[in-house]
Amino acid sequence: MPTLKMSDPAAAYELRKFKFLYLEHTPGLIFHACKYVDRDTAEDLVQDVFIRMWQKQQFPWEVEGIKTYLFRSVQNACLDYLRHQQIEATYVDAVIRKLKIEEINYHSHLESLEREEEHLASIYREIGNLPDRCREVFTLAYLDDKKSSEIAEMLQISQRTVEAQLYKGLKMIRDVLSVLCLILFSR
Amino acid sequence: MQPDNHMEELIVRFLQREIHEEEIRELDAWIHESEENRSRFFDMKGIFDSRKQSEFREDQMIADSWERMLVKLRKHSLIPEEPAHYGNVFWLSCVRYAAIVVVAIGIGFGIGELTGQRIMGGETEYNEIYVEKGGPANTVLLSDGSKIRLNASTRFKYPTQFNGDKREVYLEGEAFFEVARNESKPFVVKLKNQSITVLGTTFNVQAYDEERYSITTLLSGSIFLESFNSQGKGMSSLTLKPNQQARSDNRTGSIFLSEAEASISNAWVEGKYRFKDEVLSSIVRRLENYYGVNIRLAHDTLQNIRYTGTFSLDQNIQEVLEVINSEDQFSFTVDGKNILISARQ
Repeated sequence: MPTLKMSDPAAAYELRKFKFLYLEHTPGLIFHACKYVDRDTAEDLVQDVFIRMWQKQQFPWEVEGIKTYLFRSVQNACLDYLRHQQIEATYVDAVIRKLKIEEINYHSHLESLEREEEHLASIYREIGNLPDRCREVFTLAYLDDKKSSEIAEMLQISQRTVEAQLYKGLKMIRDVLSVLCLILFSR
Repeated sequence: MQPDNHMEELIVRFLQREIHEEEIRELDAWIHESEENRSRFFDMKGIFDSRKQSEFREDQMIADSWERMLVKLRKHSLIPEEPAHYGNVFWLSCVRYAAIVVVAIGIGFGIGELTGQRIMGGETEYNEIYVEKGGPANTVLLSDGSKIRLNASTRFKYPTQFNGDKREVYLEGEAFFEVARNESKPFVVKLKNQSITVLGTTFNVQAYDEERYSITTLLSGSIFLESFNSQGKGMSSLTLKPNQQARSDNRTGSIFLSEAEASISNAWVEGKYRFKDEVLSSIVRRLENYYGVNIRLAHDTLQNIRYTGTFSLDQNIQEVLEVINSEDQFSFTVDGKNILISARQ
């Protein structure tokens, strides 16, 4: 365990490097963890990963190495958290938790968040390419976070139609992305 | 109804968190029917979940998160507690001098709009100028030939003579600096949480006390920027190149560097002001300073409206708000100096 005196310039330098790493990588990592756990827990889990790294004072400094290391550590932390989360209020919650564990495993072949940004840019681009009605509905759900019932009311169409349009949008985007191999190798 | 259409609805309901118990049972079974179903479901979920990604890239969110990280590291005794030290000392002493001043010399740019004070602080004699909220921008010439233009709601303190090996001045608010070159005597602008060191250059500083960020934009030359956190501890430092803009967080001391169209930052010097993709909450704070009004946003959702455009200080505030609101996203009522902006229902 390192004992640090901040008057020690080397120690202060280590902390600055550490901070740089943190600022650089946490946004993606917390976002990713939020797919599986609530937001506060996501930050906690990510911070724990960083704390362990700081304790060891061993940073895999090369850029590729650290990305993979952080991503995998956070994936594992989420998995661990989900497995040990016992209490479930409802059946729906139980299934959701089970599906999250499966989802992590589904993405387990991923190396890092490397393509996440690229992924998002392509999604934005493909939203722009959707047919008009579909794009309108999709944008409301995706960018404005509207529920299907709200969209139905806003556009004066049935909720079924909203759901059908949302599905159509998702399918079209997925089709394009899988051609681009951005959906990560559905085997 | 076709069974496949039904599944499509269930997938969407699941993603929108509108699914019922019976439906999730069905969906769960369907997902596990085949590998194709499984990957279709998780791919679509991945696409839909990506919508939250940009939220996590907000500078402020990241900076706050780092603060919480530091708290944890201290709690685990992985880094020592740190006493507050340098950085604030100058500023505090400056405020102290201001408090004991008895002689106030108006420099005469209209009553109440601008006040100047002569302050004795140790060996050095200082002038302090305050441009009121809503007051007109004003120019100060320093003894070394540097020219400083002060915007509304700004306090500026400088020595009548630059003795010693540095030219140190103090700023709170917004100013545009044209600093006379003197390689042997660096010019230092002290802000509450930053310090800007230059040799000879032109740059704009926006450092209002109530704002989270201080913004320094460089037009020519180069400057060295140091940033302190709210405890006065030095956190970061960097050198700016022309057309770069540094946003320094006054609380955490982090600096975010970006490329900027520098002419936007000092448009106010020409009696114009410009917003570039700026959020309404920050626009109204600037308008408050320029026009000497109080603006309140009635709804939180308004904070995120973004606007790009150029205005002239000749335009009245009502006109300006109408232009910003060309898409009719809000309504506003003016009651004397108080303006209330409400979201359109």
